[in-house]
Amino acid sequence: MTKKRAIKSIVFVVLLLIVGILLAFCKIDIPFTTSTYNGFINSIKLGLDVSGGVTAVYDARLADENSGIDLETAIESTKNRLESILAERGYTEATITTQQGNRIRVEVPDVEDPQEVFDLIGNPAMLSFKTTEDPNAESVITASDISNVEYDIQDGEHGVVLDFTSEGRQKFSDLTEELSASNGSVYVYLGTELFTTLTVQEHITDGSTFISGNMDTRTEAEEFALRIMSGTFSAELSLYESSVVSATLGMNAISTGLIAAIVGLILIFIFMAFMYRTFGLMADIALMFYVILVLFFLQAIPLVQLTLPGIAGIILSLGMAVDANIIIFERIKDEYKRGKRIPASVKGGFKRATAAILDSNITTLMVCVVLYLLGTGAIKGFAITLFIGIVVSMFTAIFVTRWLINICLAFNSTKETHYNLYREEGVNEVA
Amino acid sequence: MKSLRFFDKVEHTKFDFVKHAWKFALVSLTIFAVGIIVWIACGLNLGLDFTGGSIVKVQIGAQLDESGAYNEYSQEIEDVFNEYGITISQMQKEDSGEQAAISVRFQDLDGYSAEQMSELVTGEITTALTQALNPDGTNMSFQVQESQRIGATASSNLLSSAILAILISAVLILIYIAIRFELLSGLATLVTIVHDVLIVFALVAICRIEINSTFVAAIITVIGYSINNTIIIFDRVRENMNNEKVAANGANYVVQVSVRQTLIRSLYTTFTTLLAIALLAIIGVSSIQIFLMPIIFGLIAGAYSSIFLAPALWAVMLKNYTDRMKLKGKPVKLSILNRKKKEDKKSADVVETTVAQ
Repeated sequence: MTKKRAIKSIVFVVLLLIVGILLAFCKIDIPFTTSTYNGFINSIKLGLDVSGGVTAVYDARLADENSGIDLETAIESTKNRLESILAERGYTEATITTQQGNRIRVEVPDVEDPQEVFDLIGNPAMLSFKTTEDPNAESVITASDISNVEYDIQDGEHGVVLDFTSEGRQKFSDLTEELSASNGSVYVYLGTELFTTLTVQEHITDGSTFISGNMDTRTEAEEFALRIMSGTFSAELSLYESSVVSATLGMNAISTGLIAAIVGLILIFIFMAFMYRTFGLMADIALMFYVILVLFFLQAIPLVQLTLPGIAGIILSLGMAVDANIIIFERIKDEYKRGKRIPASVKGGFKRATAAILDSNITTLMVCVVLYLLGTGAIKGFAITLFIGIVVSMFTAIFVTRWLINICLAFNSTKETHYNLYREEGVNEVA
Repeated sequence: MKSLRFFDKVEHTKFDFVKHAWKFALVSLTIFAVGIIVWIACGLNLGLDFTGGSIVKVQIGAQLDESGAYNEYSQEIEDVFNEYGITISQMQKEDSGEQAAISVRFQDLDGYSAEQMSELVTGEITTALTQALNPDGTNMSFQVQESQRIGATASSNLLSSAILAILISAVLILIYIAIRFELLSGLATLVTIVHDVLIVFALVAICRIEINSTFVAAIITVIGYSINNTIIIFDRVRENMNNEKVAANGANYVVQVSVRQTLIRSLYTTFTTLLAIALLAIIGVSSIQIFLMPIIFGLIAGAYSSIFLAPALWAVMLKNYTDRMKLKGKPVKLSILNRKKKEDKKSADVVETTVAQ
């Protein structure tokens, strides 16, 4: 890098850093509008443990007295179902508990509209399929055979897609096989009311079907999907009480956590600058970019909700970001000790460190993916923040730090004390 | 510069990391043993997330919204509960205005049945709370609502899915390391991970630290550190095995050199990470401390095992393996040994500079 280009780069880095810090931390009133820009850090969704949320307690009673299951089992299955519905709508950190044996307590963090959560459960409708147009006839497929309901639009018609459980899929397959021969009809009932009639044209084996009719808008269809979904609960729920709650970690969790994070970062910055001089300072700037980028992704990715485990994921990835820099600088020291000049040592150090950094980060990323796919609630959140943190840390450690160091080398590529490099006596410089 | 020579000394330590490894293994085994004894004798200190307990709502009213009032009231409530030997697991402010309340969650006292517990709370504790918070009865909003049983929040689902995820991850890590390094490094890494997790369990049992659902995340964090540390050391081993000059002195020597070369990095990294976590643990609220203690244990255990145990274990396994193959008269098939010739040219510059030293 020539000096001229290096100076341009410095201006660019400084500008980038200033803009980054402003975007990340500052609250700015946007001129000529009433809206405010909040900065990344204030836009991150927080979990129940750090920010509080809403709590609703529901009385549960058996939806179907004749189903042969007891209340406890019904509540257990309803809890599982509720959990997956909430997770699907983005409330991955919701917690559901049994209270007093016959109540379900739902706690949902950081919601903009508590009503939306209550609506999920509010107005259940039991869907069933019958083969005759008689509301009292036995249902071939009942609500418990449905695993998921989602809004869909087909041929310009708003409707919902029903996914069946494995049991339901078999029943539906049998039903359509029998009826497709004669182009027979399936009567879809909501409770005791005939909702629509489906004409079966083919044998359906993939365990899902589209239902439309009487739904004029997307909102209507989505509401309908919710009603059917809550109709599949084996316990019928009615609201007992609801309230807005503060952080479960305690009122001061966020402020003390932030102070600790800032002081911790500053100490790490000082340590790096002291141990590695110019290299350390460049690593510190790269770490600032790391912080800005992580904050950006945390608020930009919709599924992220910051909880205590999520914070652990960030600390772990921050540790790995610092670690990557330490590995690189130690390698540069080694290369220099062996007699290389500073620029060659830097090049060699980065080259040799990259394999180690990649291997350790890739294994951790694999763990993240597995945790995300298999984990529940908070574990998922942990996996996402760790994944973001590691990808960003690889980028800043390998590319940003290197770029910054190359800028420095353009001004000073010979003074070893500035980089805290040294050779033992008797080691000759090699080309 | 003089002050930094200390680190040179660290780097050139004569300490034999393979020869003395059994002593460190013994230390770990002792910790496991004590942990298991404590576990069997006293059980684990399971938190509200696993055991369930009771929830009581103490309604205070609009006064609670004033700044600082929450801290004051919650402190007084905590004092009352502590008097009866109850440790509060969680306190939350609920709602605002006339409805403003503090909800308190706690575990049952040892030996108390659910009924006895509820009797104690609705009787004596309610009276004590009223006396402490509303002695003259002027606060019309004040009310201690009936305590309700609350189930465990940590579903068995959470645990079983976490365990499944960890097992699958372990297999993937093993495969990845077997491809990028070789099988023995992979096995040594797995053993190290298991070691670190067991140490954390043992220390958590010994120190009677409460185990909540966040403990699962703490354990996974520990596994993350463990993988990271071990891979860095095996990366050096891999590189040195490819360096003919170093490799010619045998696996023990390679381990010796590799540990020395990564020692500073291990110390620095552990130090900086501990710095950030310890700070949070010191000034954070108690639930954060409970969460971070296992991570701190794991961080130390991870540094310890990656320096003193993992590389030595690898050297011992390699020796066993080559000995067994020689006995059987079979060729030794290990990518790390056979790759050597191919990569000699690549690492020529290293050999050269080592000579220069």
